[in-house]
Amino acid sequence: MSSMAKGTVSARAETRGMLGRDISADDERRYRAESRLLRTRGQQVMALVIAVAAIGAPFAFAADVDLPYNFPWSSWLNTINQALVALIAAAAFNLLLGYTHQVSVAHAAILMLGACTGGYLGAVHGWPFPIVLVAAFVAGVLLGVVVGTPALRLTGLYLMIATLGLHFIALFLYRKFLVAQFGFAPMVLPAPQIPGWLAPLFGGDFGESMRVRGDDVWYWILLPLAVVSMLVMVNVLRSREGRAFRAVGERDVSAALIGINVTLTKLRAFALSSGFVAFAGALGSYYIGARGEDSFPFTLVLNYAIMIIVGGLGSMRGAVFGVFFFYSVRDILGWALKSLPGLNSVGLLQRYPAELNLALFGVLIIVVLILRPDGLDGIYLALKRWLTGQWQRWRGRTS
Amino acid sequence: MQYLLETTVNGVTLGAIYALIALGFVVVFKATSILNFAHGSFLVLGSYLAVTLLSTLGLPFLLAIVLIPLVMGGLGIAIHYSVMRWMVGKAFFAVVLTTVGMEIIIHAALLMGYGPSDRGRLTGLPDGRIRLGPLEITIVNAIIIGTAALTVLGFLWFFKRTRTGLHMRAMADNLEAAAAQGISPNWMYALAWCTGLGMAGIGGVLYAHYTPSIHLDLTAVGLRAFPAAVLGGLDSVGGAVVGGLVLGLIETIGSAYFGAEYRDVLAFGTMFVMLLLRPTGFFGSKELVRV
Repeated sequence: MSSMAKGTVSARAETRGMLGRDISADDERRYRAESRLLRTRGQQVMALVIAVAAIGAPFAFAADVDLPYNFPWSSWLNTINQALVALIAAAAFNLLLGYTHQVSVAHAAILMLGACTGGYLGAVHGWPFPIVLVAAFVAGVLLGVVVGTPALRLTGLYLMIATLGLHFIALFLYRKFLVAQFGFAPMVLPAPQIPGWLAPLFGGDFGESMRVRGDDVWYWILLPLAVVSMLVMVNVLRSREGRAFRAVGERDVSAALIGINVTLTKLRAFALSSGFVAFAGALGSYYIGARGEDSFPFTLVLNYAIMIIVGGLGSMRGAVFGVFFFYSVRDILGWALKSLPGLNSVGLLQRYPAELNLALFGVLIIVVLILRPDGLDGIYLALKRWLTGQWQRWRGRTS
Repeated sequence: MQYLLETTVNGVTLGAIYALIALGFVVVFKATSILNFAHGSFLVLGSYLAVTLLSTLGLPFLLAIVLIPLVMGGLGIAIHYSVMRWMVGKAFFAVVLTTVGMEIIIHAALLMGYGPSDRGRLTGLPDGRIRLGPLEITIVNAIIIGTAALTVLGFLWFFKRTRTGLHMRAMADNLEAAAAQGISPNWMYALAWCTGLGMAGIGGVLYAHYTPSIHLDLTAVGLRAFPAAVLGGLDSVGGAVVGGLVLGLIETIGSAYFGAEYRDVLAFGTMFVMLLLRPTGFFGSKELVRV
């Protein structure tokens, strides 16, 4: 079930091949079966449930629902959209930090690169939205290769320091870019255009091209992009490369001993991660519509660290948990402070909701790292194990 | 020429503060192998404590410069025993992320305690200038340099000449051998945090007298501990002092010629280049830094 198990199984298959026995068609089939994306009935059912929920969500949030104490309902779609953009960047961060264990804090710098690509190609030169996104991805990969080639030769600690330097250099260049291209106004990105033949998919009329506006239309753009990005990353992680990432992360010396090119593997992880982060940077800039010079503070890196640590390092499911947890807690806390009787009369809480949220997450990170290093994902797995245990005991008693 | 001389004095002042910050950072790193990411916010905490003690309560400078490091040192010991001792032996990135968590908490606490608006520079120290031959230096700068120098010398004496300092060095050298001699690793770690934060506290007080305004973005100044320490060599105590001074000079002279917006780039760009060319810095030991 965990991809760790997958790793050992396939390693066994490969070792057999090395020991002289040819890998039979049977082995091949078993390997394929065991490394499939959805292997068990439970996983297939789960995927179906998630798909139905994802498709139903915008319709549910469009309904007129009144909850007690003004609990937000229709604004959730906005939260979900933000989370979808963040999910791509967080998953890419997790690929690097959680799997390959490379601590890079250049995350905001690469988001800036994505935003700049979007601003330069999309806003200044008017390139179409999909091409800009691809260009941002390519730019991210290139930056990853250029920066990673020297920086990844250094061990973990030095890489972190080097990327810290990169952040400040990027911030400087980003501000120069904004002033050069947009003067002192923020960078405004045009709403993407949907061609006429695709318009009915997004609720428009056939043959009439439309601009993407509103969270309900954006949702149908962001959801597929996020899903595809996640699938690409999960698939990479299932492959030989992904196992190499993990091996380098666990112990680079042993990885080198079993024939993995450590530097090249790190570089691949770094480039892939940068590509997706830049992609998310461009996408997020389009979604938000405008970016100013203070849009990418260093705190942003910390936010992403919060998401993937609380969600569970080294698990893509954890990244999903973490991102949605982060955004929902932010909104629910904001709501509770504003609307719940009792809380809304405490002056200190009223004045600093965002700081309270930040402090809460700071404590949460430390608690998670000390007590539960696998984060929400670990809690989910434990809960699942417990429930399956109960279910089997109950079945044993009835039969 | 006069301008260059004045800028140099400014650079040395800034460099003295950086040296203090970097020294605190390196002490923690050397003893515990923890890359303390929260060091920047500890400096800001020191600055804000100085605002409270000097500006709000009106205490004399001499009292504050003793009191604040004591408070911060106590906080350091508390941090070790409450949080960091549980992270001993955990993976490097997990430990770094824990300090990131601390940074977030301190940031939030400062915002809640002091609000988001800027505070002006502390002006409790006497105005005026001292003439030293061709050199003219403000009294504030002289006090900053003097305090920083005294602190560094005091620390070096403690580290090289006292028994506890010897124990700390033994721990950094070989943990197991030191522990076998009856030195308590936990207490040494706590002491390292205590000195590290104490020095960040002194650095914060001094910086509050140097900077035009005190605000939360000063964490970037505290993070100068990284370039300063990298220049000198991450695990070298003397290197941190030299690195801090060199960094202060590069930054001040560079930004005097290129413009103030180049400050961050100069500091972190220098660090980046140093990392690529010579990751061990001027004086660092050649531990395994390349893969």
